[in-house]
Amino acid sequence: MSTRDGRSVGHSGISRRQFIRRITAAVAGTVGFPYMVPASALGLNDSVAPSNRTTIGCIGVGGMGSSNMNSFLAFREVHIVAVCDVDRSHREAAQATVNQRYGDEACAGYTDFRELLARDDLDAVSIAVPDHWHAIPAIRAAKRGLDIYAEKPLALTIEQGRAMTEAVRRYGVVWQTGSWQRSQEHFRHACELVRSGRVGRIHTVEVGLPTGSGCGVEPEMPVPDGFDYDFWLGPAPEAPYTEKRCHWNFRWILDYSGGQLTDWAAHHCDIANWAMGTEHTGPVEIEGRGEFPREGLWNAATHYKFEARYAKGASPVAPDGFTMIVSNAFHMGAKFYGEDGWIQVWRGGLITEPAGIKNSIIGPSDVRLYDSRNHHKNFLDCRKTRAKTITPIEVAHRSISIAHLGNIAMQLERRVKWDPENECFINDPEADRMRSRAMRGSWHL
Amino acid sequence: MNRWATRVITTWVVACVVSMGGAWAQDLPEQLTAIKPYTFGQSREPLSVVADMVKAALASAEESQKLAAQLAALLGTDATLDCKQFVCRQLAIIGGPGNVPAIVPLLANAETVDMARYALQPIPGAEVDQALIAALAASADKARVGIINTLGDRRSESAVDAIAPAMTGDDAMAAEAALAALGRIGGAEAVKQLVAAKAAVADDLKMAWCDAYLLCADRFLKEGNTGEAAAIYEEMFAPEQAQRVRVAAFQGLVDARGPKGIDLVIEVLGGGDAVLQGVATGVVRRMPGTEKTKEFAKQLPKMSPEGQVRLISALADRGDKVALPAVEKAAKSEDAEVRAAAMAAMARVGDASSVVFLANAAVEAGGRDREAIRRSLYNLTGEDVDQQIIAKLGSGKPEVRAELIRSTAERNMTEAVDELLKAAGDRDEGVRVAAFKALGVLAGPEYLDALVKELVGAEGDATRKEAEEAVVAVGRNIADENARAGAVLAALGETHDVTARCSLLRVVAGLGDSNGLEALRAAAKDADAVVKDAGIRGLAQWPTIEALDDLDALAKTADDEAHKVLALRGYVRLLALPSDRSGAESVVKYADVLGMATRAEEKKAVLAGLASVKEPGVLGLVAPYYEDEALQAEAVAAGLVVAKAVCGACPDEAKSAAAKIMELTADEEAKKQAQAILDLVGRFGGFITAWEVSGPYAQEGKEAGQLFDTAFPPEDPNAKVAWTIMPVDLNPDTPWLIGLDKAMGGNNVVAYLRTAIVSPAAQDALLELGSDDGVKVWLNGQVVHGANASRGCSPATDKVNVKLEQGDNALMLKVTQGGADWAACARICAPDGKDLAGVKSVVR
Repeated sequence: MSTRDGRSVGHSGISRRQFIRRITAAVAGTVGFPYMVPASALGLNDSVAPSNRTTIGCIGVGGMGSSNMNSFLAFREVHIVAVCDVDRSHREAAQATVNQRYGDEACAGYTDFRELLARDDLDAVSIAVPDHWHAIPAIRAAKRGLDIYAEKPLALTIEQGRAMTEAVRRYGVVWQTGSWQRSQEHFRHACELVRSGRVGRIHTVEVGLPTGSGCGVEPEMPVPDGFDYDFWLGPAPEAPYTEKRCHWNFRWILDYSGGQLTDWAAHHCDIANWAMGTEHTGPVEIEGRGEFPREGLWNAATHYKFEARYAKGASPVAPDGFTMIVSNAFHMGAKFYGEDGWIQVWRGGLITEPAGIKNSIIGPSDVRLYDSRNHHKNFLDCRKTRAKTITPIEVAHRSISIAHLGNIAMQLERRVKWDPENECFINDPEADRMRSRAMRGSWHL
Repeated sequence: MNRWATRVITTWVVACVVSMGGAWAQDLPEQLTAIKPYTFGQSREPLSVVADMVKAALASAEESQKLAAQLAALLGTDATLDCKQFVCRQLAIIGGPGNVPAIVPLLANAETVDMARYALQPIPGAEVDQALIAALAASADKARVGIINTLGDRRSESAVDAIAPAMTGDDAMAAEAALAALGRIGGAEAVKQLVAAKAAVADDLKMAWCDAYLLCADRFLKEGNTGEAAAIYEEMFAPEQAQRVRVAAFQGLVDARGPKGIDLVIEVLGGGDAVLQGVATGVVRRMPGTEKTKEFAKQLPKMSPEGQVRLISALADRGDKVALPAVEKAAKSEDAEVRAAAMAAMARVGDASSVVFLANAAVEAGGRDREAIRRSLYNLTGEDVDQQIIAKLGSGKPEVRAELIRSTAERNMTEAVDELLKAAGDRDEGVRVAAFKALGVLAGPEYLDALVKELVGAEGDATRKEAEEAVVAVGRNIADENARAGAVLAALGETHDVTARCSLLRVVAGLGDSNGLEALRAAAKDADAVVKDAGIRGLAQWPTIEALDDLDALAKTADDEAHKVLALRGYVRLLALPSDRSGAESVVKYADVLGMATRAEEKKAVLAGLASVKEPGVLGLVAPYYEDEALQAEAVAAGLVVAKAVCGACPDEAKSAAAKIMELTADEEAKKQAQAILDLVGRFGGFITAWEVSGPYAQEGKEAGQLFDTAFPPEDPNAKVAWTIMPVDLNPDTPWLIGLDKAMGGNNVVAYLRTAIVSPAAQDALLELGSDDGVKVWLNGQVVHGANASRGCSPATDKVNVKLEQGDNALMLKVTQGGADWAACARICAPDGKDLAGVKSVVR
């Protein structure tokens, strides 16, 4: 279909040029994304006054936790005073690292995060624990008024994510999610290209995530010395200890996580949401198929493909609605198909069709997105201005909700309809049951 | 479980209506009885069968009820606890009120109370609430806490009175759970109970009480009951409350007061509480309205510098231009942090009138402040901003004009190109340099002629250098690589000025258009020494391997020693670029150039280049230099890198090189690496390590499993395939592991590995394989094995009996990759698993 002057017109009856003008004007006319005050305005350039110090306690200091801890240790304005881990070896290694950095023996170690949170000298916490443990310490830290840097994926269930979001809002704490791809320049540039209409209206987004693995039937094993396994299980159902259940491998078991799907959706679905401007909403219909191992300990989907359909108007760059397809069958990253070409971004790069789009400059009349060059520093800066971080909690909640919805649809093996405003399924009590889970023993949100 | 508790619960169960499920439960299908003995550590397959039945039953209400009743019946049997936990979690999906009586007895047992809650929590209906309330009265400790939690999660209003006493009881855990549950349940009755218990709640639970109370207020607010909500928020905002409680109450109160909420925000912004001020700036960000912006901006002068920085940041986020006067004033503040924040905020609240202000400020500022101000200029929004910048390009202080010119590039102002071309001929060099820089970014290929003209007439070295770079940058935007140099070559034909010709020759080299190569070749023979020098330097800089022979010849025959060196360096650089040459051919070329090099600097470059050629022939080439003091470091480094890369394919050569390095170098680190290679080779343990690899191969939309039977070029005997030597795994524990993920990586791809098994006689043999994920095997062109699997790699997962012919036996593996790890391993041995004497693998 075309207009009299030959310009192409989409289903919503507006030309491409009108479309681009409309989306860019819409951005210019609203309260935009947080604008970062530069470091020089925050006293970060010179010596750090005690009042500008951020005192941090680290909850969970295994793989990601110690990585985040080391990132924070590099800032002169940060002082890490305590670490907490249910695994003694992780805890003691982290304490040694902190003590070596400061040249003292002052770093406290805890097994129980509640004891760490009870300290009265903390400004913030860094939380990097298995997914089934994300909600409880985060909500408790928010209630203590502590700012929070926490790992992705945001929460184990949709309901836990919403409860966390509400707690963070209620207590006015600054939250940064560890979806650090947002602080990579090429990811931002890709999203700006999409949002600025460089490939026109988007109709499809492909999100490529890793393939999962299964494992065999695992035997019950003695709990290793120094590992508080009951605390590790925490709110998850009672289960015997076996090595492949814990630490890195928790990701592949649905009691504790959602597999490669949730682990990586928190990165690439997050980027897709950022590019599409759907960070505060969600799909309306989800359908797909997943292969969940029938045997062995690990039971999260290894192969999966689901479609999440977004309503008209949900995205400023998809007036006619669009479909987000999430699968392990695609190239890792996010690929945006528009009426005039495509834009593909992943950790290793950014390519476009036509190729020249990649190098186009995003000017002030385009959609410029939140510019963060260092994810941890962004958190520290926002602590001072009380501005939102580049990955605030609501945004992280919406990103991971896509994966949760996909998992639910694949487990039910049928299409589900979702109300993103009220965050409930439409006329689907069975699916609604899967928005939350009971917690073991005395644990509660 | 105490006896009383059992009696209470049993009584409740008996009192319940027996569901129609009772009849169905009489006759359990065999799939359900099969799971009764399940314990952790056994096969999960029987559970998966039942889970499938549950999913299938969901399609029909009758089937759901029937299966749920059968599952529930299992709970009353001697099924294991692991089985019952599984059943409860299935009932969480499929269970209904009719199954509640069967689940309830589990609430009375500490071992099963949690699994009962898993089942009951999502089942709708008053029956569940009643059952839980009844069980609450009879339970203790953790079980009691769990039941309270479940009632809270269910938002069970009928449970408020039953839960309430726990708030002030002796059990601290139950008290905390009760407070949290009442907060989640909310409503007038929960509020009443919370207020009644307030004084009696333990001191260490006061915060939990406040949280529950605030949750109730949030619920009132959400439901539109602003009066009740505001009453709670006001109470909690009282100065004697803990600060974090006041923070929460403040935000709620602002929302509950609606349009009048701004008064409270203004009050807090003007107050002395820094934490509340911080939260207030968060509220400032989300309250729309121009009038409000004005009100907020008025508060700036009343605040501390720290508070001003926060509020300025919030005003910037509002993006409302009416804040500009206040922000401009703050930009002149005595406090450096306030100034910097205001300058940064002008990007969002500034307009065309801010253009000159910011450009001047950027000139006057230094260091990081300057960058921050520039960023504001670059991001400034408003319809007339670009026009204002263009209008100011032609006059004013040169430094300010240079700032504005820089901004045109950052702002992607392609409409400024004509003005920039004028500025490229400006009297001030700073302006000219900035203009060419911006033109390199903004000018399209249609401006190439004009740019070349400016280049030819450019004055001063700095301007000329920028002009050259601009022409190269713009020319490179032409998609057709061999259509880039037209304008430059035309100018070269018309220009006689030596300086300009040299500039054009440098640009020709930078563009890499094949049509320009001839011009450089001609210039390299020019009678004018300066032009000749530019021609030779251009050839030495040429970006593609097209100039390889030219440089080879120049390196051998140039009159000038400096030109020989330049050509040689260029030649070595081009040798390292990707080409169709085989590894062996590269070795010959490197050997040739090594012979030509006379100075240590060039020899070092050649040795460094050799490290990129993963061929055993390199080892012999670098060996003589292990003893050369000036070149030892580069030679040893190359020797180690190549020995490591080929030690799987050519273990003897690698061992020999490593031993020699051990003997001749004094560098401890190099010795350590050489020893590691020797150790590595010693651990191959009969595995095949001599592999060549080709890949990765993929097909759009196909997963690894589908690629298993998709034929790629290595499966076609007539196809031309690029094979490279596969480096061994550097993990000393598994040097025989073929680490494809490290070598190439990717998801949903395949790679091929090939080797020749040399057998002294025709004989039977056993091929032991491991693969992550699947593997297909060809021996002498025939498929002898296939395992289309998604699995981890362990040695000898697959065992394949094969027949070896005397002499070479071509062995090829195809290894598929879904995601995560990607590897394989293979060993050829006698049919009984013992070593096969005289058989070895080699790369042909």
